Amino acid sequence: MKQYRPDVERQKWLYSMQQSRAYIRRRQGKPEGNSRVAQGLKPIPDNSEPWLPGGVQSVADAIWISDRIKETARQWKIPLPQQ
Amino acid sequence: MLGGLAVISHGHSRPTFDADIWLDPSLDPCAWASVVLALCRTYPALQPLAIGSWTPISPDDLSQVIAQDGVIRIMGANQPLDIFRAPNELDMDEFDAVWARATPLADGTRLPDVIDILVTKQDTGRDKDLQDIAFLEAKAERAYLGILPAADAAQATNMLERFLTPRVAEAALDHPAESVRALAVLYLREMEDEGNPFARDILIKRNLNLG
Repeated sequence: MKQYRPDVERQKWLYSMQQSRAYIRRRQGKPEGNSRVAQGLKPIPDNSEPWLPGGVQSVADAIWISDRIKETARQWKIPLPQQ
Repeated sequence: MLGGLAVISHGHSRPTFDADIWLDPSLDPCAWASVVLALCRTYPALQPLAIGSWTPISPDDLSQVIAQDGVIRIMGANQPLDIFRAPNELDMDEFDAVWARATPLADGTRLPDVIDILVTKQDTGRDKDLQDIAFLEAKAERAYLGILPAADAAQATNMLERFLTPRVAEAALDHPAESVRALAVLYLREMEDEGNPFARDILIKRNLNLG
């Protein structure tokens, strides 16, 4: 059986990006964790909803989601990724 | 279902401009081609193209092209349809195992599990695949960290044989079964040998000898 292992160089890059963000936050005098929580505020909850209740049930459902994303991106003039 | 539609179906919000399907490769190239040709006869607007050159494929050449390229593109539907016989990084003889692990959908297709989709995203050199990988790896790791501690030894071993990150291996170090813990140490040492600093940190933190 083939085993999937994430690419270690990419992991190092992601870690380096995370450390860089933490470094900038320290330089800016921001707390280590979430700023809202540090100020005693409630963290912003996960308020996203699934595109389709019950999830994707067919190829057509997945195409429908993709089409809605394209439609929204065009509406907001957000460039679509290159294919 | 493969590609962008499969990633969307697993919960990642991103657009895709084609539909990727893996059609049972156990059929020999001639029988495989006959299925596609039957589809094209039913819907005459559909036109098979060769990937890369984007040239039309004649019915007589279809089996030869699919044997050589492993994928063809069908134009003429509301978006391009890529039909694979040999998807990226999945062997054709893995089809039945991928099919068995996949989630059946209402239209008769199946959605391969996160790890099988991850495998198809490896080493493509495309930016969009890196974003898909980030989403799918995080989803797979979250699921593993939730399931692995309560899995029995056989299930945990099978899980570790399919997908492994340093965090997953670290979680396996606390598994009740000694065989799973030993496998986790073995894998961490292997990863450390491969130059993985995260595996090295875990081995040091847990006072385990390096590989």
